[in-house]
Amino acid sequence: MKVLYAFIRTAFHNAWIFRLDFWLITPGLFIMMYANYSLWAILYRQSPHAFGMDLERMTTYGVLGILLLPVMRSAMRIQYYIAEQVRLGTLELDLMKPLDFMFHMLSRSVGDLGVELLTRCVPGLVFTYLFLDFRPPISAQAGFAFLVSLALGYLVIFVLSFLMGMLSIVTLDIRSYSWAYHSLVRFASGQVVPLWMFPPALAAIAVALPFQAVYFVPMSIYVGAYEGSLQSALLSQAAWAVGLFLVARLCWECVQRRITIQGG
Amino acid sequence: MIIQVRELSKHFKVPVRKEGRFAAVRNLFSFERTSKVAVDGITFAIEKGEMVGYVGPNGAGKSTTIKMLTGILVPTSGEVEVDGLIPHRDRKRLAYRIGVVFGQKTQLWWDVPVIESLRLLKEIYKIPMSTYETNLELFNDMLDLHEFQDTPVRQLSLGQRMRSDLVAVLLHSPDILFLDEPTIGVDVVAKDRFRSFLQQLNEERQVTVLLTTHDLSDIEKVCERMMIIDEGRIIYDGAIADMKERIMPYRVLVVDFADNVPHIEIDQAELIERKNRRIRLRFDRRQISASALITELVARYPVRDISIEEPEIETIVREIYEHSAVVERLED
Amino acid sequence: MIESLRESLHLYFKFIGIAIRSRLEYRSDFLVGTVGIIILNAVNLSLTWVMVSRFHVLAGWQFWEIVMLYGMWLLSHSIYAVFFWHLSTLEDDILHGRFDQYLVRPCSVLLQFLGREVNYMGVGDVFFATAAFSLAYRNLGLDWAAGQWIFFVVAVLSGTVIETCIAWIIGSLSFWIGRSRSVFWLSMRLKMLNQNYPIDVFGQGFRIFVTGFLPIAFMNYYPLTQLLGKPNALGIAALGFLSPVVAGILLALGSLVWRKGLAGYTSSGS
Repeated sequence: MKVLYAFIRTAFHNAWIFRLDFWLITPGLFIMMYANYSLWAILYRQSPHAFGMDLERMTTYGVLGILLLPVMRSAMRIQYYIAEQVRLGTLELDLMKPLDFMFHMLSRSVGDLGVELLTRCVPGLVFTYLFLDFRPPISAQAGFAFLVSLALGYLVIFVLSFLMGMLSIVTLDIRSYSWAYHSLVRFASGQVVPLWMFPPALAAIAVALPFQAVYFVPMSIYVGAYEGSLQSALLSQAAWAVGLFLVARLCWECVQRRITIQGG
Repeated sequence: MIIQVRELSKHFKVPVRKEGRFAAVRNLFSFERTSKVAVDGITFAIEKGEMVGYVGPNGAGKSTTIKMLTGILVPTSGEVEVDGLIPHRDRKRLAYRIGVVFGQKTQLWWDVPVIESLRLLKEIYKIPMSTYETNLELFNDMLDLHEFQDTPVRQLSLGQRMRSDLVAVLLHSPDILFLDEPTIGVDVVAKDRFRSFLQQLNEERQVTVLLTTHDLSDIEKVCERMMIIDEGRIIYDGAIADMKERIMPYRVLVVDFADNVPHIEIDQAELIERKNRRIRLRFDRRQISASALITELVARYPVRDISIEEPEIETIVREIYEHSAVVERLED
Repeated sequence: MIESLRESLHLYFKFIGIAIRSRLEYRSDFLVGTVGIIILNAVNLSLTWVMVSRFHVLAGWQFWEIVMLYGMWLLSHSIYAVFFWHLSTLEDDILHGRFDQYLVRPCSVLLQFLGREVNYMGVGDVFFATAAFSLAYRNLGLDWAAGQWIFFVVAVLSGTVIETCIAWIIGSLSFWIGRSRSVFWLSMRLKMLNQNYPIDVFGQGFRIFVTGFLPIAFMNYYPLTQLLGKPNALGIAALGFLSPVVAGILLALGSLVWRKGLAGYTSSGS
């Protein structure tokens, strides 16, 4: 626990170094929330009840996607952190710390998460509630399931980012892979366009990928649009989380051995 | 005077870091700034052809001074003149006459052969072909450039990179050379080469050199004059030889005895260390000469071996830091 | 003036020569990068395709018109991506003191910075953009006269200038505020929306924002409404012709901000 507290302090300090830049992200998020809101508002005024959804739930979905961005980004940042450590050649320093590397990374991102929740999500919720007609979850059960689902989605994106970090240790220039990867995430995660709108072929692909477990599952649970039982939703997420975790762990063991043999 | 500095100061605005409870959070909301003095009214003058060492602890103001001399920073107050020009105002004109090496960062292009970088620099500095070729040949001789001039910079060793940077910076025959930590991480052989190269350069072309480094032996071997800056003020400016005499007239005598000697007492010498059969005696050269001391020791004790330690320049400098009220200026 | 412009261009080409040669050292990355870019664009466009196929018409714009919107934006963007993409890393150079290196040379700092690198990524963009645009042109049954083609080329080039200047200005902000990544992020996400959807699909506030404040709508939307004979979202017909004007304004603004920022750098250090 003390470790976690230390990482939260670090996260605050990092934010402090470029305070203005840090704070400017919040209004930026507000603008994006508004953009998403108006997108769905206009589309649904044009075609009301498309896909059995109504305008209010759809705009809530759209705005939720932006609200969750900072949450998931706190996990995604470890990919860049690891890549940066590799570039600077200081990865060995992290390895020498008496802390399991994966746990270290997780603490780092949770520390970040704390800062993001406080400085983005809270003001974001206020903003979107006041101005963008943000609705609460459709039921208390859905609300609770949403929170669990969110945590699971967070774990999934964490492990995925950790794997991408492993990739950056193994290959030299990850930029090209990174973009293709991120565009895939954007496509299949349901963050902007919900999966139920996908034509069947694409939907099948998207469902087979882990990215929908990050955004789509919790978001659709929130607005009550998940097809299937809540239990199966959470179970599928958990399956992804556990499965990817094992893969990541395996990769880490291999990479770790490689580093200590080759010397970085 | 090719470099003149008068009451030069530089203040920076730095953010205020609060301490205390929830400091981390409170700092995030605070945009207060306070003024930090990096350079505090320094004055000095350097003549053409001088080789001067510029020394100080980290954060003392060395880099800031160099940046003001080269036109990178605008001073807060005071005057600075380099080769008749005001650096921050005539930056581009001055650039033709100076060369700057920033120790850790190379100014060459990373992925292409050294010679390609040099060709591009020829274009940037508008170096006539004859000068370019003459200089290239000269540096080929002095630094063995032809060994690696076709190698991309990223594949060079640190010593080779340093040599390449030197060539790059001297290609346009500048009159003044500013070297900011040029030999960090470089091996002993390369350092030696670097020093003789500088000396040769100074002899043949009267290039004025301002050398900033943490390696004081670099300065001792290359420069006749040294300036020490601490907390933005120059606390010493003078010839190195004099410095040793004035600040540190002490020498240390290292004596090895043949047998264990229980009690040692010598007039005018201070016992500073005793280990097994070896002792170290500190004495003031002004009060007693080394030979007199040795004679006495040999007469009274079973001495096996003796050697004299010169004070290290590091010790001298440390001594100066600690008594930084001493500000010596030696007029030429 | 002309003399120094010619000199600068000559020097710029020399810089680019080395930049290209540097890139060629990493040949394998070129292939991977180009493929990656094509995937990226395909994915971008496919999201829009999903939307359009489900909603049939997005605020009066049909599928191929939206593809043309994307293609046009991408053409402008690809030139920017090849030559000026590193403007988005300007803040790193400023913060890590690389500018000291530039300041010590008898050469324009901007020139040295711009000549620092080229990026092969834009090449993939060009392929995709040309393909997308040609398909859309054919599917819309268009047949432009010479005048319209000239207008198109001017609009695309103006778009490049607009995107470049926006990146330039945002990067220069870091002279004052340290990192400007937040603003970059926002402009990038707004660009993503603008390239995928006609601004009719967003609320009035958004439309005004991307027209008057961060004028990315002039990169593709407004010229295209003119070329396709569609009414534009703000109802002011003249907007369709204003891309070059906006580009000019941004150029002037950019050079002002840059000069001020550089002067500030030299007086406060990194």
